Amino acid sequence: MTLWVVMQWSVVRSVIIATVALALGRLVLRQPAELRSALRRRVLLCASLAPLIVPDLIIGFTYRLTAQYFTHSPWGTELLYGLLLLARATAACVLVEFLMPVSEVSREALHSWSLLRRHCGPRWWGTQTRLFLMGPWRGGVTAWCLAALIAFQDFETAALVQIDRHPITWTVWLFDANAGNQQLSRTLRLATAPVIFELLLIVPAIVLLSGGGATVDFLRKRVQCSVHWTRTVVVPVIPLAGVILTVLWPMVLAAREVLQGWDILLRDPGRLFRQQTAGLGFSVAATVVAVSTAILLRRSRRTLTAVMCLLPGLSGSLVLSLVLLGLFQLPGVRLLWDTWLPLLIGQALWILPRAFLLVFLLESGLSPETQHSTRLLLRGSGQQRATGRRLLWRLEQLRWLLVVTVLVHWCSWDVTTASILRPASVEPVVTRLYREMHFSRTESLTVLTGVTIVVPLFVAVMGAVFWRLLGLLPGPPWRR
Amino acid sequence: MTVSRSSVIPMAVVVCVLAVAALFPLFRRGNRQLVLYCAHDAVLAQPVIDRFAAETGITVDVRYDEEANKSLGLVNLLTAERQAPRADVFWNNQLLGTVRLQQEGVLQPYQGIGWKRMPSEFRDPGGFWAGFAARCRVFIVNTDRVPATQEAVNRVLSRVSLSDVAIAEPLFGTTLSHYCVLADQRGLDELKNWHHEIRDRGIREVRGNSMVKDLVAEGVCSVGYTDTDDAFTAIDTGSPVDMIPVRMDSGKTICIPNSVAVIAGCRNPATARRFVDFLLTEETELQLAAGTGRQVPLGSVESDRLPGDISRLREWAHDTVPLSGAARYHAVIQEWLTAESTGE
Repeated sequence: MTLWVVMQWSVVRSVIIATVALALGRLVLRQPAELRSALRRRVLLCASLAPLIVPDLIIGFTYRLTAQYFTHSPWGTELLYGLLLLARATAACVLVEFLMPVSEVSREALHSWSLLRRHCGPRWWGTQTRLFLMGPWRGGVTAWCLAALIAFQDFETAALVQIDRHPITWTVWLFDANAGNQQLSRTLRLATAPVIFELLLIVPAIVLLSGGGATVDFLRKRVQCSVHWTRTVVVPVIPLAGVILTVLWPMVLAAREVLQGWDILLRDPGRLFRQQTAGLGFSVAATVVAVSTAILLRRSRRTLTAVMCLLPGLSGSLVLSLVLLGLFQLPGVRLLWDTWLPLLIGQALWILPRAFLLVFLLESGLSPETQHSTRLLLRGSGQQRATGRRLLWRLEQLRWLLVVTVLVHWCSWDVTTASILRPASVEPVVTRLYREMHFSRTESLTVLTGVTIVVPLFVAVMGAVFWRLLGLLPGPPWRR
Repeated sequence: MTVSRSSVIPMAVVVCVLAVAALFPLFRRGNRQLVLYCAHDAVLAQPVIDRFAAETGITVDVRYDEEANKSLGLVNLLTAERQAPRADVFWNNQLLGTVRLQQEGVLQPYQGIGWKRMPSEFRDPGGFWAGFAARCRVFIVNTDRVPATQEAVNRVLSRVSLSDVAIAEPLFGTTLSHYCVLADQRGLDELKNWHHEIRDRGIREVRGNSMVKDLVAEGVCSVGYTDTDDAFTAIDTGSPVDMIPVRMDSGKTICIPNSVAVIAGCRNPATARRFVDFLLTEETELQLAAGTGRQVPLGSVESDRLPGDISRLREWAHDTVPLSGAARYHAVIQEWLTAESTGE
């Protein structure tokens, strides 16, 4: 199958998924005001975002046998794969719209501009489109781009549910194309078309995100819509379906294995501890590098530089790892090949596009006025200072911690960079997990997966407690 | 370019983390005594490596093969690292990749006591590698659906539709070795015809032998091409499966040994040789035979020390086609299949 055909499959799939995901995501967020209790809304949001947290590997592993029932039905396989992607893409849409600040282009401004249509001639349409893109369409277009990117970039789930012939996706196709140890130049040539498509998705998102906006507490966003029974029924069903598909069903399948696999923790706890530490250590370090780089890129306000920095990550973990492997075999840098550097650079570059989007969303969602007022409180008397610290925690520190935790989680589950770039003496836990998966040792796999999910969460919670108790920091470290 | 004050801290963080990552591991290199690249299943290989470490006091850093980097498996990685190898020993879970490394000049010869222990058909005459602890290609059969006999399997294979039969993708692993043997036995053109024919008849081509095993164990398929170690995994979990050997037209089986070799230009050649000899001992072969993978010993062993279900495997293993001729097809077939899957 040629690259052209593969690209058609992949692009059409991601466009359809992103479009459906956007519609579903909007349904979830735009609930009638009358039905919106804060608790209900929080539960719905958490449920909607859950598919983003479940590792692709686990989803793929859960449905690998289900996919085999559709071996001779391309549309059946496509439907199953599409549903799995849709759950993740919908969650991404919800996340973007949830963090996106309200546009500064008001309804009044749009109305006023529409009145000028007869006086402006053809120029009017250009400005009208720009106003809409920076105004009411901004969240939607950005969310759509991110959802399409997620659907387009998927590899692990696709490989496990066998999206490798009819239907096909470019990531698996490229993986197979590399089987014969081909030249790096050929790999890069094959990866060019997918990267161009990804740039078409990410550049508009960056431009739109740069457009500023006013922050609004998402729990208080006012949405005008009518109460209708279809809406009240459909809205909870969307996140529920995502949770069942990506969280509950894998857990149900895994539950019976947990007890049998429990002894793996006792068999060689030292090795498991080292693997967990290595996985977490690399992920945290790579996330710190990626987030710091993303902050630098955002502050530099150079779109071209940002795009150049994001390119390696957009090309996918396989191409990225192969390029780094090639680079570290060159005379001069070969000495560094068996160090931690290749894996750290690989993971940081791989996570950078996501870090960049999240940093953008987070920073554009923080109102400078609120931040300034909060900092003023910190200079006040005892009670004011305590209030200031509490506000700062909620407005900034907690959000940063959440972003870093999610990025660390994603990073720690990227098996391709870890398996190609890690030094011989260090093994992150994800490569062991992958081996357990390959040999279908579901008991130990289940227990290891549980531990691998819980450990970063535990560290994040401990970090949060520590940070809060410390209570002396007026913001994230780089802001002091 | 001016750097704003607010950008200094993120920049410093990036530089510091990268510098630590680059420098810190260099200091501990001196402690390392053996670097092993191991394509064998970690659960089965680790106890062997631990025993070596315990007996010799040598620290072993192991890098296992993962499905995730199959497109850059250890064979390709060793080729890429040829100018400055970090591995001392390569323990491959099959043979053809090792022969390919030999042809590319990645290995160095060593004719130690372990090499001498192995039958001549399972070692390189020049000492570049030695085979040990083998597995065989088999048909795994779901006995709830089909009896595990050659006649019953032949009946399934002769049906117009092969949707009841599973095979792993031949681009990787032992299925690639299987294809190489077929090319050697029947010729490349006939292999291609057979490959296209089974695809046209709807065989279920999946992404690994363990998936083949799962499909048959779960009853999605009746018959699958896999290896003895995968079949035993299903048998041990109580699935209704059994196996019979895949036989060539000549009646011969396909036995795929593990292989071990010392890397040319490695940092610790003496330790590497010691490990190779250790791996090729009777004790190690018996340990691997007793494991869940039931690897068949190729060197001489005391038969009363062999696990019960190994005896029929030993017969299959010693009835094998020679793999020496198949090695020359490894690169050719990989190239052909890659070209076919990418349409280039």
